[in-house]
Amino acid sequence: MCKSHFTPIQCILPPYLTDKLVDSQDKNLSKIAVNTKFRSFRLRSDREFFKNTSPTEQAILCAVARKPTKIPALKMEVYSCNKKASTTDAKLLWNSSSPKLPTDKDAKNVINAGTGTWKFYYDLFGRNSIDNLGLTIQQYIHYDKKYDNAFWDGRRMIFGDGDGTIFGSFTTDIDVIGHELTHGVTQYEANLEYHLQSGALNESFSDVFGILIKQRMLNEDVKQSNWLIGENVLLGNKYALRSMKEPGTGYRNHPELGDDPQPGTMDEFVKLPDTASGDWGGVHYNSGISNFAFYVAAFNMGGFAWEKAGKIWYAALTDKASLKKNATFSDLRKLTIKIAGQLYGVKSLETKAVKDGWNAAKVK
Amino acid sequence: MRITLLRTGGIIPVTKKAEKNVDWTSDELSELIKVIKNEEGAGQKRDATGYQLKYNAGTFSIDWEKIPAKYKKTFEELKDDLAIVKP
Repeated sequence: MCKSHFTPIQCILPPYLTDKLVDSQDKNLSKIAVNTKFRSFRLRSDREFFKNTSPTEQAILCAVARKPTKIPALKMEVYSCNKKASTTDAKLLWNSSSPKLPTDKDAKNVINAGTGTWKFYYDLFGRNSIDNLGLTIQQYIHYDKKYDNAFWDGRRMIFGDGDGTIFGSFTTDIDVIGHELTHGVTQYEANLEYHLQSGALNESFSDVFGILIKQRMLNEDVKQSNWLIGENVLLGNKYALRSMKEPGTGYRNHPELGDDPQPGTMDEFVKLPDTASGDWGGVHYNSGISNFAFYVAAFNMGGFAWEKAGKIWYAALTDKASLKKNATFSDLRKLTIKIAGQLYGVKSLETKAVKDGWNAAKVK
Repeated sequence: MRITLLRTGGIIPVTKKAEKNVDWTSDELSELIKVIKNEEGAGQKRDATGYQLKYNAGTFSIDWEKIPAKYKKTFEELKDDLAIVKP
C-alpha cells in the first residue's frame, strides 16, 4: 500500500494547454490553470524527492503517513457440543465480549489457555490471532461421548472429555490447547503438508509453540520446565503424551498404550505408510526429532525459551518464501541457522546453540 | 458377516477397534461402502481421528456423517465398544 505514495500521477492536461489557459480572459479558467501548474510543480518535486530516498527513508515516511490503527483485541467464542459428535447444534457458552466467565471448568480452561495463546503471539510477535487478521478463536468443548482427543478442523479447535480412565479432559493442558491453536497459525503461514517430514515439522511446530505458551504463562525458564506435552490429559502421574527433552519417554510401560514410540534422532526415523492408519507417514512419531533439536537449542541459549529460540522458530514458520510446504528436517535446520545468524550473528552463542540442537538430533 | 470398525489418528496415534456380527449381505455392504467411503487425505484437519470399516472385501476409510440412518445404530454400538489395540 505504501507504493502508491511513489506512483507518478498522470496529468490529463498537457503543459502547453495549461500555459495557454493561464493567459485566458476567463478569470476562473486562469485561476484553475495556475493552481494546476502549481500542483504539477509540487508533484514533480515530490517525485524527484522520493526517487532519491533510501528504503529506510521511504519506510519512515510511510509510517508517518499511515493512519493510526486500532489496537487488536482478542475475539473468542466457546461452545459446548453437549457430548454430540457434531458442532452444528453446539451451544454458545461464552464470548469475549461477556465480562462474566462461565461456570464450566473446561470452558474456563480453554478461555485461559486460548487467551494466553493469543497474548503470546501478539505480545511477542505482533500477531493478531491465528490468521494475523483478527480471526475469532472458536473453541468447542464436550465433543462426543468420552471422546479421547483434541483436534483442529481447519477453522476451530475441538476438545473431547476423555474416557475418564486412560485420558482425562483434553482441556486440562495449556500446551495441548496451544498445540491445536498453533496448527491454525501454521495453516496460515508455512502451511506444511500434513504427511512425511513436512507433516512431522507441522506437528513439531505445534509442540514447540505449545510448550512455549505454557512456559510463558507459568513463567518457567528452560531449566524449570519439564518439557512435557500433555502431562495432565494422560492420566497417571508418570505419564505424558510426549517429552521434548527425551522423546520416547512420555510414557513407558503404560498398561494400554505401551511405550512412547517417538524417536529423538534422525537415525531412528520411523517409516510408516502415508495413510490415515500410518499416521500420514508417522507425523506424530518423527516430530520428536525436531522437538529434540528445539529443546537442545533453547536449553543451550538459556533463560526463557520464547525470547530467542522461540523467536527464531517463529521467524522460520512465517518465512513462507523459504519454508516450503514440503520442507524437510534438513530444510528447517538450514533456515533456523540462517535466521539465528541474521538475528544474533553467525558466530553468536545463539547460532551455535541452533547448530548444536540439530546436531544432537542428528539432522544434517 | 463379521465387520470391524477401526478408529485411527489423534494427538497421539492410537488405534481402536470393535467387532460385530451383522446379517448384511456382501452386496449390501458393497452398496453401503459406495455411500460412506471417504477419500483418504487429512485436508486441513490436524490431530483428527478417522474411521475405517474392515470386512472380507478389504478396509475402507469411511465418513461418519454419511452413514445412512438404517445403519447408524449398528455403527454407534460399534463406536461405543471401541477399545485400544495394544501395541
